[in-house]
Amino acid sequence: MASRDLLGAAARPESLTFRQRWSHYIAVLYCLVATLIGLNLRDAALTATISYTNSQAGIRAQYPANWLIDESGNYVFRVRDLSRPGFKTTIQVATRPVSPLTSTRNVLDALNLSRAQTLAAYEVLSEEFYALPDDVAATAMTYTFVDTQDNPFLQSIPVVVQGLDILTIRGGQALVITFLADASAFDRLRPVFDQFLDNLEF
Amino acid sequence: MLLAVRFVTFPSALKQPTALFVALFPAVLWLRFSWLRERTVPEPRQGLLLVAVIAALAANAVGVPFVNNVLRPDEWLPLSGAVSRIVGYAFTVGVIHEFIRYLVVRFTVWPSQYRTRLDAVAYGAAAAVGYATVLNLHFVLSADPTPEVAALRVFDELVRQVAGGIIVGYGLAEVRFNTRPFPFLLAATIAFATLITGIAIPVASGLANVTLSVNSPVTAANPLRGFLFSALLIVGVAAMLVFLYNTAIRQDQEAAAGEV
Repeated sequence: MASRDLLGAAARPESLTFRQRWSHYIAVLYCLVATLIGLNLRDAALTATISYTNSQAGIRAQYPANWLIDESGNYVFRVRDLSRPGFKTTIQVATRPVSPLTSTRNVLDALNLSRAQTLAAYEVLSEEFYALPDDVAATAMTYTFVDTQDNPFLQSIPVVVQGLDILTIRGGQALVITFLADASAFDRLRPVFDQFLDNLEF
Repeated sequence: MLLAVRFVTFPSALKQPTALFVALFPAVLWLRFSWLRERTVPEPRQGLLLVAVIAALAANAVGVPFVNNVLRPDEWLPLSGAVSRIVGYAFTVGVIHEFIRYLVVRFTVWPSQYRTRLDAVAYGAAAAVGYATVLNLHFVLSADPTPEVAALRVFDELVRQVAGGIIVGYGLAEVRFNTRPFPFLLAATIAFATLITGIAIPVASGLANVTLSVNSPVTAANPLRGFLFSALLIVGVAAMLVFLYNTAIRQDQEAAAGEV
């Protein structure tokens, strides 16, 4: 018995020829394969990285391609996604010398005191244990602040920024790896930072 | 329409309503000049409105969420090189749009409502108008553009969808009416339509946003170039398809005459 299509007309699947049927099979197959290629292109583009090596600081990292690297501040290096509208997603690696008696708590307190004076509405959300990929013990501190546009001619609404510091002390140095992103996109962008940490060597 | 919204200053309160009207304008035109006129002929094409509505629903339910949330081309394609952008847009935006519209036509009106080859153009255009209307409404409601920007975007999107619709329509017509259709032809038309999308998106935006003069190194946006490119694209695709349809119809007539 012939089925009926949406318009009530008799659909005749049995009347399709071998070539007609295979035309549709191949068309659907092409579309599925092309979609998989598209997904693969997306993954390749979003996870593409560039190598960075700093022998003086003893750091080797893979940062996202198309991000802008900057080594001119009080950090080892910083990379930012300048293509993002609003707050530019940032990954920063900084080191600071510490004495043998300095604890993680001391470094975090120093960071908090410094940021509370320079960042608007700075607030720490959580501090917890964190294990870096090679089982190095570290501390993760999550915080937020409000970022305003520096240029007074660019009118924009302040952005709530969420930050994550991964802090570890090793060989007389405190290593602070910072991830900053628009709070509304923080969770979605977090895999970029996780991938960065996975490939970080120090 | 483009000239009207370009040279008329709208009060800010009317900006979004005007942009919404601009987004819906192609659908209004299609209803008036295609669907309504079809009602007056002795044997109207059945299901044109159904195809347009299902294509619009499929775009809203599957096409837009899949492109925006899964493929996310805006996050990784704009900074790529020219060839990468063409390939990227073809295999993401292009293939999803063409695949969904193909499925809509395939499982609603093909082959029962195809009486002549030109039915493929009518149903392909109906699916394209429905699909493009949803894409344009998403743009207008999310980006809050000025009416002239909305008009240019609506035109670009409509051209891409209609061009793809009639190209894939040619493939569906060949599979329906050719006694021995080449099995890869339908897939080839879908591939060609996705390539057209892949080329049209970066080229139209590139022409609209960059200067072509070495004497004027500062980038000056010129949306008219993007508009002209889209206009040439639809004229070129239409001319090519007219030639292909005419050739196929002539071959059908010659074959029929040979049998007699």
